[in-house]
Amino acid sequence: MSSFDGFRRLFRLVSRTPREIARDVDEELDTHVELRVSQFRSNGLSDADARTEAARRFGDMNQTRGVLTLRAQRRAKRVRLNELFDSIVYDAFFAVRQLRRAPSASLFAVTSLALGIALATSFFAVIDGVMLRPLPFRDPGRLVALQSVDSARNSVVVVSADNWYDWKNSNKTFSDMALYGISSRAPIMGDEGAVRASTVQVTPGFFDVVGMTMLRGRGLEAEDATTTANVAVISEGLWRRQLGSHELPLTLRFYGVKFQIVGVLARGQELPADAELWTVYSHHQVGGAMRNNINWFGVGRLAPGVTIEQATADLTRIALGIHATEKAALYSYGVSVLPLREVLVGKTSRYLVLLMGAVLFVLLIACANLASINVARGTSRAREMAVRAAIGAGRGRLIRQLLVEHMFVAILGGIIGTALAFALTRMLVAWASEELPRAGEISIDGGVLLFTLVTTILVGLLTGLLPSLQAGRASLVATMTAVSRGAVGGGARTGRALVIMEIASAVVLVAGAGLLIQSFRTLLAQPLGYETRGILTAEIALSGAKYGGRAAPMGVFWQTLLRQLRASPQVADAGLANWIPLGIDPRSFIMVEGRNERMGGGYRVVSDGYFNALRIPVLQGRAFTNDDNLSQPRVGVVNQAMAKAFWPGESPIGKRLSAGSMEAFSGKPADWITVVGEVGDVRHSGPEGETEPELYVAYQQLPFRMSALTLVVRAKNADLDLAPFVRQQLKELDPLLAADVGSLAQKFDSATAERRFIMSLLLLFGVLALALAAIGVYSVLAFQVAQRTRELAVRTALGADRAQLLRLVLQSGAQLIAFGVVIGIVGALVLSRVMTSLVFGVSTHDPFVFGTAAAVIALVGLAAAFIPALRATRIEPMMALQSE
Amino acid sequence: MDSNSLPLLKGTLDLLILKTLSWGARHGFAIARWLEERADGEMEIEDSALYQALHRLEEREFVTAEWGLTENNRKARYYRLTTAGRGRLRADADVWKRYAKVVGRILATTPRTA
Repeated sequence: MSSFDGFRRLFRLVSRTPREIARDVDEELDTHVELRVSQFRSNGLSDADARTEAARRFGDMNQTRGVLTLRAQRRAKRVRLNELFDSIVYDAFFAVRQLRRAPSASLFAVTSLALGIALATSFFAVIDGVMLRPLPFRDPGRLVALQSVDSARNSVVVVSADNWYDWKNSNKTFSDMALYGISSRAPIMGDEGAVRASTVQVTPGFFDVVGMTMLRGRGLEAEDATTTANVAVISEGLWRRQLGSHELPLTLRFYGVKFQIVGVLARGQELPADAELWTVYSHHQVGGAMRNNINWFGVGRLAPGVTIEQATADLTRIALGIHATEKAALYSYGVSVLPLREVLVGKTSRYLVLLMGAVLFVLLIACANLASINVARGTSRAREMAVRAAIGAGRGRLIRQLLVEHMFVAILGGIIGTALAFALTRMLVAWASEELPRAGEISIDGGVLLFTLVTTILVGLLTGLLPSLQAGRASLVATMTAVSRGAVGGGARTGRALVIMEIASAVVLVAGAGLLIQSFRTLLAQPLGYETRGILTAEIALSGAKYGGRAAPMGVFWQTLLRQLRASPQVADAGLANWIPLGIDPRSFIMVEGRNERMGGGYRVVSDGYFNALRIPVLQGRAFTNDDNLSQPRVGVVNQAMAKAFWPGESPIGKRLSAGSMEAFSGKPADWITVVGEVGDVRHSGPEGETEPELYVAYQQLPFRMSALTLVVRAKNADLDLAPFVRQQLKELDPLLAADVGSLAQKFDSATAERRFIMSLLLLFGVLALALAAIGVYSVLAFQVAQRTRELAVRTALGADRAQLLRLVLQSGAQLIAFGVVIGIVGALVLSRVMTSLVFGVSTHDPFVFGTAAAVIALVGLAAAFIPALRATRIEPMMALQSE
Repeated sequence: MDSNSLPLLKGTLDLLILKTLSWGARHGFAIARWLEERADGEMEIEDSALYQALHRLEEREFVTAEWGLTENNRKARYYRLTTAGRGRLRADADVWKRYAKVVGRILATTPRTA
């Protein structure tokens, strides 16, 4: 048996091509026929008869030939595949042995690939969850967001309920449409006590229009708006946390009113994303100035087969109709219809793509790094390869063996990277849950793992192909003689090219990070016009029997609150506003007395003490006082921008204006407001925002009641936490009140968090790239020094001093760095254009940033070059020459 | 061809080839000649069927093949039994003999009237 197996193995090693196999079959059958013919001839038949008889005895020759050939070819193919598999397994075992021979190099290789692959996987998971997966609603492709277009042709994200009512009833292109409000925090009493939850009002049918999945019960319907019973839908999170997951029907108290819970919305279905409780809003058409009361988000479901363009045209037609009949309508000039997904994640998508690009750059650098190290190692293994070639390994066989070796490293990196990616993704989501929409949908699933697999294979090819080909090229005699002289330099050029590429990529990343850092610095230096340090904020909404919706008790509450807070020695000042900075920007029509044109401007309701509490300077006239109440003539304060825009070159004091769209109700014209003061400009929307003309009015003089205001309190000592004190004061005034207490510094942080997030990540990638590039420079030079030991030893022996040797190696490094930096700067100049939307206050070609990036890379690169250079000076000529 | 010669029963050819090879390696023509001599004209095997059977047996690894030279220095493919082929021959020959005996016995009985 053993002799047979030995024979078989020998036979199989000669793998035959399909053509050879066909020839074998032919030959076998021809021999047979010849033998037959000679048999018949020896029996006395003539040559021709013998041939005829032989053919008859054989049967169908052509068919048999075909069948036999096909079978033999099939068999040979199977054998070949088996052999290939066997040899790959063998190569893999060999790879493990190789890796164990150089543990630190292997560890570095696997670690850097694992890190790169983990980063790529996590970011792909984020991109997949946020951008690629469809929204988690029924037939999400038909969902659109509805936005206003104002008289200046600006798109405004919110719409007026009055306009929406007309769109809903007159359109021909929508299945249905709904509104949802701006979510606000409100006190909710459930089984487990009082909490503040994010609540939002929606129009009937909202849940159905969006196509949300209910976990229990139903959404809010049209009849919910007409019955006297109060009903609400809650989120699964709130249901589990506050209502112990009990089955419906359930009730809870909201603003002191009992609500029946009719439905529980499944997790991940929330819209807006932070909402926890939805109540029904039924709209009554008012018209007039109410058309400018824009504080709703519109969402619509397109009718089947309708395009966005058709829907836009349809709604625009209606909007123009409204504008024609109601001249006061500031936001009825048009409607923009956008895919809902674009509105929810569009802005995020842009920077996610940027970050993903940066991640791929890092991965590419890691690959180039390994490839250059592999090329170097391949050269030092040239002798091994030459010997293998000498004992009969073909070129393809050698290339395959090396490729398996590198692929093995890549796969090992891929496996560890995937494990890391699970942790990394969780960290990313936790870190950025505020900045990332749909953060809950981010997970590593089959699609992401497929991405990882493809990436890993590509990484294996990138790191392995070049060195494998390089090694396969080695010719036996040349290599053997060259090795013995210690002068194999074939891989060196490839290695240098790779390092130049690494440096160039690092320059691009570092310059990109530099642009964002510079932007952030500019941003933080931007004057806001108000104080953020040491300012406590508290959102307060008055409700319940104590107030009964009446203005008088509310007024008493606000005044008492301010008086008591100011009485404390810790408080510098306190004030109230409907919207504080870093929140929403309410706007209104403004009419200036004696002029027939309407102008737009910010409209803010504030109390006495507000300007002082936020340190907004009074430039002329006076701020509001507690005496600016209903019994006094209406007064207002304008900011510098409004004073300049409305009364250029004049003092605004004593001038009169009116806030048409905000204060005109049921046909009654808006009051004339006399300007009594001018204050400094404020960037209300944050450091990136512009300052706009704004009008402040006194909260006690409004034609409507103020039930919800935000309190701002400035501490005398900015480091003092006023929260416990303010909470205590609020509790004493109204025990049922639950307020959201925070700080302006906090709000400023979250307004800039996204930028900080992107900047930190890009900086991290830049540092990684820099470190990898430095390792690349180091390894290529170290390899060069090792290869040139003999030459350097001879130089030393001939009297070259250490400084000369140092210079020699450093020069070689400096060359690499110079090439890399130049290419990198050019690349960065081209690529930085993609960052235009993220860069603030600096040019995307900022010479300072680019210069600094180049200098940093050059310094780090030279530092990395220094180690091998120093090693070159320590070569002992005698030892080096004898060791060969 | 002798019109009296027996048709080949299904599966018999494989068995016959294995038997032929039990004395050592032979090429295809030698196998055909050997079988013709044993059958003494009573059974005819088409050459094409023989070669298809040989290749089938090779694929199942009952026989292996190698190139060799005939007595007249012609290149020919020599077939040889493998260990598995030898086992197969023993088992199939057993079954065939018992089968032939039983069929023969049944055919030998004369009908009796009740």
